[in-house]
Amino acid sequence: MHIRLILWILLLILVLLELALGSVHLTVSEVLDVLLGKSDSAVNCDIVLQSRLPRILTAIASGAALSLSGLLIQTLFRNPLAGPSILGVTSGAALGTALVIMAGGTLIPHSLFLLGTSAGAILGGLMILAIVMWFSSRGGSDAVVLIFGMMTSLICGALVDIIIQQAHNQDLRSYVQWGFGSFGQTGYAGNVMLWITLVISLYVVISKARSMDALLTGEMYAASMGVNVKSTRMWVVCAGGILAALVTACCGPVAFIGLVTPYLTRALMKSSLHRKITFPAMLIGANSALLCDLLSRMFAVPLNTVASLLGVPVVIGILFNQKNLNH
Amino acid sequence: MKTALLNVRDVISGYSGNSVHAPVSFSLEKGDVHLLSGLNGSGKTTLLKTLAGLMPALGGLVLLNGKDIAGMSSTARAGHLSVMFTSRIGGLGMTVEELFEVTMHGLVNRVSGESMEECIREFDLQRLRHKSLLRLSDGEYQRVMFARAIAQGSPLILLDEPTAHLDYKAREEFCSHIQRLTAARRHAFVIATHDRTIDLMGERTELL
Repeated sequence: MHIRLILWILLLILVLLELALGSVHLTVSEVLDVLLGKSDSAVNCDIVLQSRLPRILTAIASGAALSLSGLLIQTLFRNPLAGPSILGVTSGAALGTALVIMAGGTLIPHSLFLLGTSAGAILGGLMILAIVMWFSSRGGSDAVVLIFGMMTSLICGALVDIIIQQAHNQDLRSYVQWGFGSFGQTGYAGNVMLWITLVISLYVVISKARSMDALLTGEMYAASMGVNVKSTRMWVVCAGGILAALVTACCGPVAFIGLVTPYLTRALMKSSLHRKITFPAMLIGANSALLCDLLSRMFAVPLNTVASLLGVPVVIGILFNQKNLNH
Repeated sequence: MKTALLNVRDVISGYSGNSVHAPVSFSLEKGDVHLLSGLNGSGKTTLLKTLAGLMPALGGLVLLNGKDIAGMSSTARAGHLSVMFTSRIGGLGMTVEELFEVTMHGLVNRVSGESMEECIREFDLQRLRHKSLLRLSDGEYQRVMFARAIAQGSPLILLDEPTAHLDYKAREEFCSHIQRLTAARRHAFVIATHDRTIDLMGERTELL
């Protein structure tokens, strides 16, 4: 229980730091004044409510969503090294987003732009997930499936490159910017979409937790224990794919959070059961997203650079501890 | 006429239309043990999966209490039978205790109402209960998976090479568990094996 408490306290500290630190430093009491509606400074109000708060909400939702997506994808493939970015879901979503931005950008009215890119990302992400699942259903080791996922990821990247070759300068700039990843571009509308999707997915995971636990023992055993494998798998795919794709549409292809947090959570909670690790995994995801965002703003480096610098050592640590990997 | 717990009629199993064995027929009551033997590649595992309803039969009928297994839902099947395969599962580091929790809670209406504690005690797994499935030795793993199949609480148990990695002591324990469970007439077993030390216990079908 105290692990959860620590995670909540950490989250609170990171949120306060995120609210206070930035190009304009505010004190904690100034921040609290704004939040309680007692501040006289219009500038402070603007900074906190229009810039920093939506950014924090996006970071929390995205971190939690990527974690949940990673957890679901690892359950699906029973592989602790699987994740939305490594299996190409993120790249598929990026391809869908790029297609909408470049090809459809002029056709879609500005007010529907967010919905358009999100739909493109979800279609792209789910399509790649379906292809990788089809490949893994033909048999083959975990490593082969991961490499296949990375290959589809590279293909999507190449297609994106072809598309942006044709793009106008302005589009190109915004696309490259988006590729660095950022929680600051989402705004309140995108936040609403992210949070609603997150809550619905969490509900799905909680209501299917037992079947998902059984899925960890493999599809044969799960079916023999009375699980409807097809329907459970479909829920896992949809929730896992949509979450990662939506975050990609809103914040860019954020790497590593979805890959690393489920593993850390299992180790920390000493459990693999979804009922026990789903919520802590989301908390750890939210914390890591906030931490990455904070570091990225403090040192003025892109979000994805920070995520990679922090994520790679963890993955290498996992590789060194091979006994914890699958048979 | 009393319907058998398991009735296998001229069943042919295999992948994508290619069968490797001749049609198999036998029937089983609670308290019975039926052994399947045959050389490597003779189709023992495929036949077991077909009997468990996890693969469609290429021909013939599998009847559970007189009902065709092909028309049953996975939940209904799970109430009738449980399985143990040879290939290892890791469950992403799931512990032995968690495996029993997943098996015993919520998914199936169990016929024998043993609790997880009783099961863990009965199969002498206290020492392993907090160990991750990934860290079990092959022999420990087989003992755990055998106990899991029993813990599911279904009357019919299908076992694929359940003693392949067991030492002589564990093998004796395995046999005495089977004897105890069949004597109580609550369970019946189909065991695919080429272990000659569990020869004596029941009828045998040789896959050709």
